[in-house]
Amino acid sequence: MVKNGRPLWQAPWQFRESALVCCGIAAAGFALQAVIGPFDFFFLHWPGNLFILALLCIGIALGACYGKTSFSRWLSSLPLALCLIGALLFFSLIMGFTPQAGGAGPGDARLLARLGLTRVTSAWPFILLYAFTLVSLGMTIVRRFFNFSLRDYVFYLNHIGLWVVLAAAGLGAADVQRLVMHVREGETEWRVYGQGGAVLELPLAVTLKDFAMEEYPPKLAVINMQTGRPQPEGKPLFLPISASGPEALRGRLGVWEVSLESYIHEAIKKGEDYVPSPMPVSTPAALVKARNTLSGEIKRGWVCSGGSVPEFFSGLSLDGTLLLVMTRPEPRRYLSDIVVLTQDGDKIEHRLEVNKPLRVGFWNLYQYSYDSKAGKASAYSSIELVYDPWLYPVYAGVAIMLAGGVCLVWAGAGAGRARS
Amino acid sequence: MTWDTFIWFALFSAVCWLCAGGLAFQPKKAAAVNALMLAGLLGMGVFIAGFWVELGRPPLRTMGETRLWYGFFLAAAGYATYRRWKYPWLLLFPSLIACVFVGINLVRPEIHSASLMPALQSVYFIPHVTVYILSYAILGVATAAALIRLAGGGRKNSAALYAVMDNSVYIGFGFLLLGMLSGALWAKDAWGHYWSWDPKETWAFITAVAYLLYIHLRLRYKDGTFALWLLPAAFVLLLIAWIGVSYLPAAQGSTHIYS
Repeated sequence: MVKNGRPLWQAPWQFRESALVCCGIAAAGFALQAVIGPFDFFFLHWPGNLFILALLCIGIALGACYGKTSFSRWLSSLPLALCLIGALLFFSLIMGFTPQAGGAGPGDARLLARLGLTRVTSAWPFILLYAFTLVSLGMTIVRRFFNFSLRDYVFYLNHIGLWVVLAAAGLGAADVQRLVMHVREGETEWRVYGQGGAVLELPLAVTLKDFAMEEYPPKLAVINMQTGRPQPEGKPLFLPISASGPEALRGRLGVWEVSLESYIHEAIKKGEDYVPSPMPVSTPAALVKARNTLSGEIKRGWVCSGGSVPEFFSGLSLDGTLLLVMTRPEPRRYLSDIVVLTQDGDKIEHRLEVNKPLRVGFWNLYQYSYDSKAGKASAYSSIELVYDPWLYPVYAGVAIMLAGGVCLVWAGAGAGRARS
Repeated sequence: MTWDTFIWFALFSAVCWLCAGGLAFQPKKAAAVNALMLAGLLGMGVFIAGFWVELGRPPLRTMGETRLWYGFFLAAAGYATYRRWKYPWLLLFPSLIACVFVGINLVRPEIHSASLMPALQSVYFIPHVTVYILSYAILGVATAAALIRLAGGGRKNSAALYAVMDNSVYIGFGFLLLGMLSGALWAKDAWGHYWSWDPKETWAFITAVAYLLYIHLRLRYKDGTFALWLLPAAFVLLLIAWIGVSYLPAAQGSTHIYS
């Protein structure tokens, strides 16, 4: 704790001074926010951010090497680290409880918006404390290197990893671009709508050869014809159809025992029947038999959700009010077969899927959306393009921190004891 | 191997793990604990391998299939952590949760085939969720230890109680870190950016920062009650991140809510 009798602001600075400095920085941030509005990330665009990074590194190195002063000691001290972590907790809690990314709202939200707290990550107090954290964390790491000990490996991994991630992600934030491109099947696109509706031309062109969607086999359910609600109400029963074969389905929906006679995953309606056909509009259909276990009555017929074609719908009437139906199939995969052409003349063929982006230089391409009304028959695919030249440094930091996390699990509280 | 034969493997593994978790509290039963844990893991592993061969694809497609892996990895990671740290609860907790996953697959077979939406079909899914579950269980132990101390317990042996708190916070925080970073890598592949301050991400961050505060606080201020109070408080934040986010008005736009 603070030594009794030491006047405020007399070296060595401890917890009181650290807390006051952090509050002062936050107050200065709020003042800036009130006067000039939110932080403008324009200053952090390439190569400005590289310049700031170089300045930061040189500053930290000089401060650590030449500053044997109590001030530079304080910058890398534990009380300051505690205050900065506390400040980070305070601002992240505000982020957690206040809807973010909003402008000025009605009522008291207006005050929050004026203080920048509806968009904390571009509010001056947050930015200033983030920058101060980078300085303090950097000084702490460099100072520790002067007393290098391998026993501190957990400290090095976690702190260096965190510094690299914070520096690269923070300084690189302004360079990140996220754009959405809509490409029609068989066509090539290189233009996107940027913010404000301006058309941007990209350094790569995308040809969509085919968009396809795979679906899970749907479920069977009994609904009330009048209300449309699945039965029994409140706790409806669903009978999943397995893709492995008709014999896989034999189950009960209430008093009805249902068995599957045949199942067509991609069917179209032809007259009163359903036939297999791999067309964009085709949808699952099943020939089912339902037996009333009380009366022994048997019903037999086709069920189909219709997919994107309402005329394909078919249900099996069980009695005056109950109808055996098939649920709409849920999507299993979205697939865009694309060809990407770069300015260097490279041609990359790729099957774009959710969770399987394509990396081209600093660009990442993602399966983003499609014409949800047309479903499988969608004639276009929306592809998100994300540009992030700082991704590799961030990943380097993440890799170091992953190692740090494993070491924490291994070393336990010993990681802390090695340090103190 | 199919779901029809699952019951034999499931019962075998669950009984092994539960017995091992119970025996871990008995001194001098280490050999039996090791044998039982490994036998349970082997049983589950054989089933997963056989199921994989039977299906002709990795069993990662439906919820029921992913629950198999949770059970397996939770037991495996819990066992590895137990071997390192020798805390019996560190074996019992993950074993219990693993058995819950196995039990769900046994008792509610109809949800075996519940389909997995495209955004969840990723190699990160299982490790991401498994390490978080482990982390939450271990941080729960730290909270319990802090509450015991706050209630006036463990006065004679407070050093040992503090050691349990510190150790479990460090280990739990390590797993928390692994969960968060694997989540970031996954988010880059699924949503386009590794960190978007989505409400779930924000709350995961809040939780991590709260435990970070505890770790740094304990480096110097050894006897403060503030650190003791910080642990239950941090656990409340953890619960908000885990369960509460879906109910927060500030989080209604979250892409992390799967219903």
